[in-house]
Amino acid sequence: MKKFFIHIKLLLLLMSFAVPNVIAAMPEQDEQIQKKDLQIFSDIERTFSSGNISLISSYFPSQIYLSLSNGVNGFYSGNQAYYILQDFFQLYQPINFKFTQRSDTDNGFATGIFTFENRNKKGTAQVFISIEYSGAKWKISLITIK
Amino acid sequence: MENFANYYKIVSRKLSAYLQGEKKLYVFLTAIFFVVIIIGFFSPSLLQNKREKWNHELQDKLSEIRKTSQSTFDERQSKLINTANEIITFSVKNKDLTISTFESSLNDENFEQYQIFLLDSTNNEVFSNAQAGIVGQDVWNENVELKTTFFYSTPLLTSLCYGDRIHIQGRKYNLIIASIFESTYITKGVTPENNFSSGLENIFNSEVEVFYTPAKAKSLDGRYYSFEIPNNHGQKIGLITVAKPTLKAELKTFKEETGKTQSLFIVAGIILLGIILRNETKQLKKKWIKPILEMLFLVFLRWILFALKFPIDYFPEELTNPNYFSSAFAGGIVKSPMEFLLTAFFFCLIVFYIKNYFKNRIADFFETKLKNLVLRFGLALISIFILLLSIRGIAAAVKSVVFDSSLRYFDTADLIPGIPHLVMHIAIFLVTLSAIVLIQVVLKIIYLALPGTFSAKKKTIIVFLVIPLCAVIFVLVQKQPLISIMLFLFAIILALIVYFITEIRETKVLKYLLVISFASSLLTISLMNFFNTELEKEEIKRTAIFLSRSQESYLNFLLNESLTKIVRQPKLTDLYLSSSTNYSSLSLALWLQSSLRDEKVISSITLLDNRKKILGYFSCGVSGEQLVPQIAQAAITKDLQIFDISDKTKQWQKILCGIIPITVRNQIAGYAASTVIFTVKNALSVNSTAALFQQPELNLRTLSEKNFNVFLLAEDKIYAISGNVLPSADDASRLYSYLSKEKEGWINYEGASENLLGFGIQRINAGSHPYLVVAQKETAFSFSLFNFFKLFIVHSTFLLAVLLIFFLTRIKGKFRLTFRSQLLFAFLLIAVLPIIALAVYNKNSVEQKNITLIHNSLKEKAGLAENYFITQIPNNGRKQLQKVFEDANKNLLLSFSVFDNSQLIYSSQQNLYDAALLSKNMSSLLAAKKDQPGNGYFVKHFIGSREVISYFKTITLNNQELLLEVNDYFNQIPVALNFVEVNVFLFGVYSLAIVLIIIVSSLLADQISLPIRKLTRATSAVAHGDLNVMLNDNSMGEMKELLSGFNIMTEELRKNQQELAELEREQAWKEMARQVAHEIKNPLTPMKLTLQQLVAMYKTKSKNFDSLFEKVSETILAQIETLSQIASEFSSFAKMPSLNLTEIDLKKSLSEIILLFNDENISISLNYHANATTLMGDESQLKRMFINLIRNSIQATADAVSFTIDEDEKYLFIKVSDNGKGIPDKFLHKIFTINFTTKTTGMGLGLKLAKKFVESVNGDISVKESSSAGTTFLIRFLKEIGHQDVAV
Repeated sequence: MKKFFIHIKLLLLLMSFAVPNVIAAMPEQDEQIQKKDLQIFSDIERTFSSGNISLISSYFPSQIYLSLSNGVNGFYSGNQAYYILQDFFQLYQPINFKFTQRSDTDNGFATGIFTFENRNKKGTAQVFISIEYSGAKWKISLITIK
Repeated sequence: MENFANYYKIVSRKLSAYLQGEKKLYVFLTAIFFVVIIIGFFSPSLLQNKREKWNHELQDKLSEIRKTSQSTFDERQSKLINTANEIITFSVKNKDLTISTFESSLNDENFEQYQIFLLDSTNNEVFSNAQAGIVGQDVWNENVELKTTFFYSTPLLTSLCYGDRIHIQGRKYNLIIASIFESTYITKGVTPENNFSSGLENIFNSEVEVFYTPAKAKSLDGRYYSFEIPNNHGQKIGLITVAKPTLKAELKTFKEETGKTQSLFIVAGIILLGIILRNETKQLKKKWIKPILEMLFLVFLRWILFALKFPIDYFPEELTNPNYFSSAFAGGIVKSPMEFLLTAFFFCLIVFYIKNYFKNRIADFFETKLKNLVLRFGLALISIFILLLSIRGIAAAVKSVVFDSSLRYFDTADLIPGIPHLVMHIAIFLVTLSAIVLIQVVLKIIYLALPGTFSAKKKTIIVFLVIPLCAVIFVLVQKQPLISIMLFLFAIILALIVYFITEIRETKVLKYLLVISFASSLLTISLMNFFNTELEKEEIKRTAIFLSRSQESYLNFLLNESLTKIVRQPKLTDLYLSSSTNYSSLSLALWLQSSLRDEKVISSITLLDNRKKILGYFSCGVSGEQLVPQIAQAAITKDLQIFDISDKTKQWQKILCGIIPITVRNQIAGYAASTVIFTVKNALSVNSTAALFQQPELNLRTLSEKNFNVFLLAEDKIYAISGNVLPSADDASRLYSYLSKEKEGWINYEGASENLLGFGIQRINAGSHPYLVVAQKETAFSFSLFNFFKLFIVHSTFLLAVLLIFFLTRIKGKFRLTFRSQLLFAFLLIAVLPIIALAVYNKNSVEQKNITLIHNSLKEKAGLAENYFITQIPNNGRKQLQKVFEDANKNLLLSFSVFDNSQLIYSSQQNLYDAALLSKNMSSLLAAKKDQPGNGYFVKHFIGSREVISYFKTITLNNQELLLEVNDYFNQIPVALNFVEVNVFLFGVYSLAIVLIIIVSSLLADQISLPIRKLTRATSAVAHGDLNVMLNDNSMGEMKELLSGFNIMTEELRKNQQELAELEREQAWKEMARQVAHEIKNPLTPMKLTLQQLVAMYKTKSKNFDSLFEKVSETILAQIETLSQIASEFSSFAKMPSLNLTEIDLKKSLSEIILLFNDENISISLNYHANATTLMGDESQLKRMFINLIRNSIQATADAVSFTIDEDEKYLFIKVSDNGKGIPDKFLHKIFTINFTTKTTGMGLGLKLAKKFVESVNGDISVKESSSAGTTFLIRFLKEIGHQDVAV
């Protein structure tokens, strides 16, 4: 029995080695973006500046259209969109994002310039986001990053 | 040296001694532990070292990049030159070679990846296998240096070429062989992902630009590293520019790699520790903790694997891409197909673990611990609730698989779909299978919780009535049930049937797996079909929402983004300024690299000179006047300008055109223009030209390509946009009033022959038609056999593969083919072979019919066109011909091309010829067909990514011989069943048949071989000394006679044995008596003589009496001693035979004994709860004891016997319980005495001998309880005994 507890301790020790790797594997959180801001455009801007998808995932409807420069193109569920964008931002690491156009009508949209780093090189992409106001909530119906 | 060898031997001996048994696990664990620490400890210093030596390392890396690039290029170059030499050698060796035979030999698959041109002395193309619009003459005109490699580029393709001379039949020809290095689109054997530059980017994980021209100078930007590409003669033919590796990126990669390595060791360590802990948990006193700990460990291990991304990081991207599937379940533990498969695998492990743990314990628990009826009832209710939740859980998992995935499971182009599909299918199959196994455990609890007094039939009826009733209530009380009542009931009934097949009629593992898997497959397919239908309904709604939106802002964005990107293309200026550039081809290349190709819009790219004159264009559906509309022509364009040229009267159409200047050295050298058109109709279908550039097997979920009926609705009118099944006036009025009130919602209306389901929504910027409706026939949502078979093929293939693996792993050592296996194989062979032959025949037959249909249809279309030309052409010149061809295209809705002397003079797809996607010169394509009889022939070739069949027919118009071409791509030819449908139906039906045949064959083989198996076991029982065995069977004919014969034989044997035993006993007693008499007589005679002598002396009063008395006494005492010795010897002789002590595998021995009684009317169960599996004893005596106990139970009218094995630290306890009539109290104290029996037969020795055997190994046997409900014997054995413990 004594031996058993020694091994449990060993297991915990091994886990403690695993923790730094687990943390390294998780997406980085930007401390600055922890503030609660309900403005959809502001959340989009912060997401594209930090790569933290959680900020906009609440705006995802059941089906969202994504068209990304890594070949992703089509309708995806909100769950999928979360991980697809997370993967995208790991590949194209965000540096900066600036809106060039915003329209908050019921059939609203926003365009912007997304600056990223990919394969040792800085690059820019144009972003188009289509939003709609339905059921007293803003939803993102389309994200295009080209 | 010898010393060293000795030393080595000693060390290795010591090491191997140390690595024995459990010790080695600890050694490995310690090693892993240290490796993890060492990696963590040295990482920072290695990073620091990397930083310090970075400049030096960078130089090494750049040198490596250059070397690798060169060797990659050299490898491809060598292959090209070798292939050319191979062709030349072939021509030299074959003196009789003709152009025709040469050509057919070049059609070999070895040359498929090369483009080969044969030119005559005037450089006219004699033969070419090129299918991508490259003209051999153009290549040769690039001033080919013989036996020297060079690059040849068009805007669409770049090839490495090699030229040489070749002689055929004495004539000299020019040979060019080319290997495609860069392609902008997919065609036969070529994809942009396989481009030379993409390959280098993947190797270096850095941006790579390859310039295929000797003129390009090295980059002066310090962030890039440029180097030349030399050809086989060392001449510069190109330049490679690579973004230099950065220290930051290197350090990041290093950290990632270190983390990965550490993760690998940590996972290995945790698994090893798990194994060690598993061994230790066996010693825990509370047995129930062990399974909980082990299951928790599996859950924990799965979480660790997920968190460390192990082994996900090592799988190809297509399996780990969330694009295919990702769910938010459990924090993302199933966020990709491979993560899902791993989770499903762990779930399966845990479920089978639960099943095996509870397998025998449930019955024991109800028998011994839970006898209270109220508690049993409560437990049954909870179990029913768990069962219903489990089914809901399966449904939720399948829903997620369908809704959280972009894969179209029912629409794959191939019979066996791609890897992501397969992984998803296997994963969900495993989830359903595990859930069904879990449900079986729950059903067992419910079944056993019912009072034991209920008969099996009564229990079955209750279970079949109550559970479905609960299911109906469960679905009805939910606000949003996941699945329909019918589907829920189907799942319940399926689970119950499986339970009664597998649990009530105890099945073997293989059959159990087969039945469970078949049920899982049925349930998975039914649920997937259900949710796929739900998804299709969701698509209607999504399409309606999408179409109702204004597209202006998005089209504006598309134009802006595409045109801005076009003018920033680094290679555009060179190509644009080159006089030899084909601008239409360049436009196509630009279109292929823009976002426009992926969008569901009609689009075009046009290149203009600085006076806005069109140089060339590529259009994907945009008409001539819309390419660069007048407003764009007239505008002064200094920057990007976008114009809305939509026809305001057509509200469902939006047309935008953009134009942007192309500047060279701050001067406007020309313009690039683009037009995009959004129409509802085009958004609902795939443009055939755009589809030429997509992967044919691409089947991700995009905007629906189904035949939707789309219409706009106003108060008093309907405007149809797509489809022709519109609502009647009354229906339209009803729909309008509903939508006016609700703004959006689901609607139904009647079509001509069936009902339609649709979604109506208010349009944004509506105009005169405020509502848009998207509808589809309701039959499109019903269950189809095609869908069923589409998935069943995958399941059955997987299932058969698993069964085969399982079967092969069960074959240990020498393969033993049982009678049943032989029967099964015979049945399968007879049934499956004709089915496979039939499937292949049918498939070929249908495919052949389809090809014939396509050929006939193409011939018919060509004939139609020819007749049209003949009737429409007055005897005028070529100008008039063009008009007739255009009219034929419009009026006949026919796409065709016409060639004059192999040169294109007209095509309905002129765009593709102008863009050099297709060659305007068909001579090389048709060269092989010239010798064919008749005036028409079929050619298979590629246009973009599609393989098409073209029909060429010679026609005569205006006394001029022309060649007419029609193909099956631009002229859609409906076939009754396409190849995929044929395959799905044929292989689907046959795979179902094979699975059913396996199940039925297995049952039949079981049934037929049953008497033989009974006989085999009975013979084995007789061999073990059990002559009480009797075979009852309902067999007919010879089998009945055989079994009756066996019964008579054993009966006779038993009688003979009894008689023989009686005789032997009598004989033995006689012999014994004789021996005893003989042995006793010997000492008695001297005793008698001496006593007689003593009596005589006494009577005569002899003075020697005293001395004689003493002597006689000694003699008599000596003889008595002899008698005593004789008695002892006889006693020893009558003892039990000596024990043959061996280590007995108790579980195995009991299983063998149980097998002996398989065919008797008794159910024997084995509940093995002990960890110890062996005991020391005499196996034959142990088996004899158990057989005696079972036989006693049978004779006490028991129909069930259970063996329960438990243990404590010292003893193994074997509890043998039956449900016989019990032993009356008055006999209980006598049962272990010799000669006691209550039976009419038998000698009363069995229990006495059992007691004697058990006690001989220091164990004991006792009656634990006995009543009219049955008897329980408790036998206790020492776990470990030494020879001192054995009574001799």
